[in-house]
Amino acid sequence: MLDDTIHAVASPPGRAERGVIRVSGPAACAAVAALLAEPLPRARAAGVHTLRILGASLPVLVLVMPGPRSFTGEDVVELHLPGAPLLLAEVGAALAPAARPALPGEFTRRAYQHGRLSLLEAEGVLAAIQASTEAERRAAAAYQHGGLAEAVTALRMAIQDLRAVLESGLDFTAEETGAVDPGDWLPGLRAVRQRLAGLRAGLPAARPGGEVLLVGYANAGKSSLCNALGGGPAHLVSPVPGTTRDVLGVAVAEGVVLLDGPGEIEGAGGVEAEALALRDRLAGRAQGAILVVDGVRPRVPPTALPVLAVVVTKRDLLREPPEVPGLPAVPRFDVCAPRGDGLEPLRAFLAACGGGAPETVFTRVRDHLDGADAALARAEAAGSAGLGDEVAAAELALALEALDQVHGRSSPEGVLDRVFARFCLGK
Amino acid sequence: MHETSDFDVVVVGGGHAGAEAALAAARMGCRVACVVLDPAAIGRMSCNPAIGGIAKGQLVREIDALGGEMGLCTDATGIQFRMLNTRKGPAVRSPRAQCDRHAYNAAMARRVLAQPGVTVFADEAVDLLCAGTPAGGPRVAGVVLRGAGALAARTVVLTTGTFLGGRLFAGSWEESGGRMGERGAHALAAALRRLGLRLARLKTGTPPRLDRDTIDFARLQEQPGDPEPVPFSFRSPGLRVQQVVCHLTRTTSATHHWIAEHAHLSPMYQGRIQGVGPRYCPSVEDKVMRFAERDHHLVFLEPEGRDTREIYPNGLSTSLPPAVQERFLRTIPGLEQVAVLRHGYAVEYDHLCTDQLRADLQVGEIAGLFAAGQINGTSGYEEAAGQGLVAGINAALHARGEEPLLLDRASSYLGVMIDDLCRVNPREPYRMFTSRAEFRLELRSDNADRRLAPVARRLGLLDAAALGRVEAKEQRVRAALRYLDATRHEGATLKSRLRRPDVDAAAIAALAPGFAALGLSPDELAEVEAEVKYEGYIQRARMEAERLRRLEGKRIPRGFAYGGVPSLSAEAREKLALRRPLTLGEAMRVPGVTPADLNLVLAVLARGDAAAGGPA
Repeated sequence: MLDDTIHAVASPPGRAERGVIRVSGPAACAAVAALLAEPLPRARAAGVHTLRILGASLPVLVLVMPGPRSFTGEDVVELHLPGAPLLLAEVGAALAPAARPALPGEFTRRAYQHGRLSLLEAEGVLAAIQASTEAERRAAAAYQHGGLAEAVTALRMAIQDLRAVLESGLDFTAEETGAVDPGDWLPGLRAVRQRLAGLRAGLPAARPGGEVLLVGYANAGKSSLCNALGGGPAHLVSPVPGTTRDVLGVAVAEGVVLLDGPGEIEGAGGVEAEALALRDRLAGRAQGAILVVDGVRPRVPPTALPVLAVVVTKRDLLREPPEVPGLPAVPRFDVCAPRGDGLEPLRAFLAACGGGAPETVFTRVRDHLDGADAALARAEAAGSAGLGDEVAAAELALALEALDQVHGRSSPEGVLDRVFARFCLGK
Repeated sequence: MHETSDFDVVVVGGGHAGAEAALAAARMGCRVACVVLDPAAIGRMSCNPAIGGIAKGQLVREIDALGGEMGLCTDATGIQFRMLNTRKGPAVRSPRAQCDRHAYNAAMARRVLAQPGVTVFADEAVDLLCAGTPAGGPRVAGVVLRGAGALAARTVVLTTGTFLGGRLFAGSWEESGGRMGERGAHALAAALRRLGLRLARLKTGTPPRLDRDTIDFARLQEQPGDPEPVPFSFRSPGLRVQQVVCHLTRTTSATHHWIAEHAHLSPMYQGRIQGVGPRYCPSVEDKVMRFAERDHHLVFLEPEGRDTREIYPNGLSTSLPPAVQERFLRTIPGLEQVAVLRHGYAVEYDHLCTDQLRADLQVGEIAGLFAAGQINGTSGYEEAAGQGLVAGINAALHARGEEPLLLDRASSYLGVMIDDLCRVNPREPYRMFTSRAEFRLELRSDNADRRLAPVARRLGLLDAAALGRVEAKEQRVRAALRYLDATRHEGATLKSRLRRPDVDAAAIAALAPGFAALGLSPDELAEVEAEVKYEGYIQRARMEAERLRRLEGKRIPRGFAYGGVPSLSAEAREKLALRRPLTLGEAMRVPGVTPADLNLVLAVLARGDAAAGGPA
């Protein structure tokens, strides 16, 4: 799995003064060395080198950080060069086949796998990168600096204490420890549930939104739709297919951004083909697609993204909503964008689906906290109904397991230690 | 290998672990030598003459399900039987029995001496013979006895109890020994150290024994056995026993005062004992000093047999000087005039650091060397017997060149115990608790026979009659579960009705004549009830167990090259190469190995599977 080498542009997308390419893996040094006129610099010493690319020579700054004392724990090489997107893309392509493009988060993931970061630290890095609101930034900082871990550990200890009470009644006779009944642990359990609810409430709210790509054949009416939803003529519209060559974004609801790009053109070549290639690269970050189908010439366009909805345009030109063969089973909206017909239901849908709300580290934490609370609720029910302390104990174990998943570690047994610390045992 | 050996298995020691090991190996067709200092001491109960108790009862049922002797011997010699935790759920119910100490000892010794295939040597093992294997590592080749000289053997099972480097203490008195009046095994401890094995010290203790005829029982609360005693063994025909009563008394503030004043005379408090004792079975001086706020501690007066005057005062383990023992005893109600027949003492002994232990109870890198019982840092007859049985089975399998029996945590308390031992070096003598078993709701004492029958059948540990009975029970229980699922009453299945807290199997039988007609015994009805009430949890646990099995049970090939795992940390590489874990689960427990390291190993293992063209 980890015997391959990855590369990625480590600087923000777009034109910039400097661009950074990072390469990590066993072949990192060899892959970069093959592009340079001179041998690699010494470890951890920057050197200006000559990069040979596209038949030209270019001065670049090269940094070599050998594993295991690197960010990923593997050999890492960084190239600092002018921040021209095309140049960066060319260098990336030249690194193949020794290195392949990294998947999102793969550098951080490797750092975790090599023990360079704990799961929470790794996620803190991801959360900080993902943060787009102040609440998320603060929560990410808490993540990285252990505030959340501390709160979860405190909850965990409280549940362990409850389990110790239960287990002392199960593992010893009443003569040894005194009888244990639900009154000894139910109030404590309810208090723990309240604390858990407080911790959960402190997490940033699920972020509605994400980016949704409009997919359709050229001239299906994607830009008109964008303008109508976005409330202004931001996008040039014309009856000529292929008018849109760039990818533009427009906010249409809380956090939801519609990406409008060039449409599919059969037999595209030259600039059009380049434009489609650019669109496909950018489409990689979208959470889903909305298919835009020309009501007059209904054809369903291909896409690899999950399809959230179908919009059939040019309703005004037709008497009846047209039959469109081959549509996926998702909500359908028939609209006339310029007149605004049928737009409100579409807008409401986009706001509600949140563009397929992106998975953040907080979604995961929230899920685990919910899992823990569900188990605690069942333990409470078991205690109230007299189902048996061993059943309640099983639920507490599940709650602990769910909390441990927040840390990404499995449950070490600390229950008996607590039993012994509190009770005088043994006949 | 066709070298001549005198024995397939040599068992060193004849306590609860040694007896089960010798019997199991012999019943699997091995030529077994059992080396004991005194053959009359085979199966002797060093401390409390009781078998079972919470969690320990489950262990005895599992031992029985795998053809072990402890349950049968208990049923044959028990004098008081109680089911503990009857007011709690079936998962934590455990049988306990008090035995006639002398009768139990004699019965177990007779069974070992009479077992075809077992030769008993009244001798002392002073050294181990080792040889090289073709693979390069050492392998055990036999033992050297002080009297009889060398015994060549394919495997050796060490069950040395408290005898290995044993020292006895009471007050300022101190002496070498494994049990009062019996000498210890010091040459063997030195031999193990010479082989490079790491040993550490633990301690345990026993109370004084009291003269029944000097106790005033009239004022003490009686504790009788169950009116309908339940046998331990699934193979016992039923119990016909005249039960004895125990009595309950308690320490007083005068007791505590006297003990606190003389605690400095205890070898523990003088620092002369380095070994750590068990927290769950502390000496009375420990209880008084650690829990000063308590104004009393309970004491159970338990007869040691029918024909003896010896009474075991449960709760009064001590190593205070004999004179102090006698004085504090007389501050306890009912014991004002008591005469002491034998004084309490502490024993400190060597055990193996269990990070050298493997999932089949083999020791470290020495192929064919097994260990069971207190040498593995455990306490308790049941824990010892369980390990002895598994070590005996695995020694037999090893001698035959077959794959070992590896029990996982989801299968049994035996699996939980062995896994726990491999995982950490015990800081105190290890005792079984139900809370150690994360699959507790399924690992019950009532279904141990059904759980382990497939293992018993595969290894030939039970006779056809016993296997047939388990099979029939399994079928009746399954039929009952099917019936409950398929039969409706007032719109709901009988199963959902039985799931309600206020409904038991008897109520269902009264409701549905078809259910009663299935002819389940009361025990089987209770089992069906437990299966239904715990169903959701058991299913979830099974899924979890399956996940664990896939990961934990994933075998690591013997010659696996850790050097070939890219990015594996140097520490992990060294430790794993040294330890050579048999499974990924065992690898997880090697201290210093991180989950990230295991991911790397798993990745290479997965590639190996793909290359071999199939799943593991």
